Amino acid sequence: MLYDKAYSNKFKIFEYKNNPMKIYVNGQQKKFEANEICLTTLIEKLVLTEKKFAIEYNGEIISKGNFPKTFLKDGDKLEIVVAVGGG
Amino acid sequence: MEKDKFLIAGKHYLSRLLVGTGKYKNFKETQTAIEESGAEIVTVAIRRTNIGQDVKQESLLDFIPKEKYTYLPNTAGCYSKDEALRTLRLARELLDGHTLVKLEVLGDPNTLYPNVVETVEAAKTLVKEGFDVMVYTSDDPIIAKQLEDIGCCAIMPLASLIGSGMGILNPHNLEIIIDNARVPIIVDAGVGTASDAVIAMELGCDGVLMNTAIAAASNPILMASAMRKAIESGRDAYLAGRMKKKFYQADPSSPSSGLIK
Repeated sequence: MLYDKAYSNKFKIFEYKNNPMKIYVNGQQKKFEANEICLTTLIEKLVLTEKKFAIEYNGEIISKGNFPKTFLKDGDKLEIVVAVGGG
Repeated sequence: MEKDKFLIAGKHYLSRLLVGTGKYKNFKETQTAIEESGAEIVTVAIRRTNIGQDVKQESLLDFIPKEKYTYLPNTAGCYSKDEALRTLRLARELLDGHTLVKLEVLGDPNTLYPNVVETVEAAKTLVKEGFDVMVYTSDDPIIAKQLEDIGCCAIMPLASLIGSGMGILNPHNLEIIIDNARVPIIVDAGVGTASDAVIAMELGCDGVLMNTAIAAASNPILMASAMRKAIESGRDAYLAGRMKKKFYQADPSSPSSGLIK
């Protein structure tokens, strides 16, 4: 049993190192090694400086309160939008 | 004289000039032009943010504080009902539940003429979802009335093509729309110079929305000021009740009696 657990843990690390999570943010591919990234962490990693923005996660708008509860997985598509000049 | 009230979606505004934020050289110019114009309602577009830019990057909303201005997110670049809905739902989220929006569903990338069929469908859904919809449309009086009946809080017929500066091409249609309307009619698109704005107000429009006319002027700050005056003078002229036009017959201003002989 102990042997199996150690082996499967090693295997998991091996798996993550060789299969980084790929997500798409505003059409750009981003790779992440870590496995538990919530939207709050993603915003920090992307260095998002805008104070007012909205996130669409796989077609669904996620409210700010739910950022810490929404975890990324391989293949996720995100749109992060802001207000810009326009008529 | 008491300022005549301009009411949109239950809120009063002093200025009947609405302005866009596009095409300026930088945010400082945008801010100064808007201040000179006296506008209170300001349109913005919703777009993807740049990923991984430097921390010192400025953002538009820092220059147009929400304490001073009412934002009007638009659906520029949307060619379908679904695109417009998606954009405005995101806008509402990014602006913390703000519901006053500008709906525009375009039909063609060259003329940017509105696809009124998609616009009507989008408006139905948006009104149901609790948005206060100010809708950009053609100068078709039947469509304008349909959009009003759906529940749009303001109808915004074009004067001419977006960014064209051609001015008001069909004043008669605008008059028909104004005559039949029970909600504010705001001319949006095609205004080029101050006289276009004056004419719109003299026809009886409740307001005018413009962007290129100011931003693309040689001196945008001066044009913004000119537009502010144009909206005010056009509105006063309308309220003052113009004299009747007399065709084929002159009417002297000086007395005909007491002529020196």
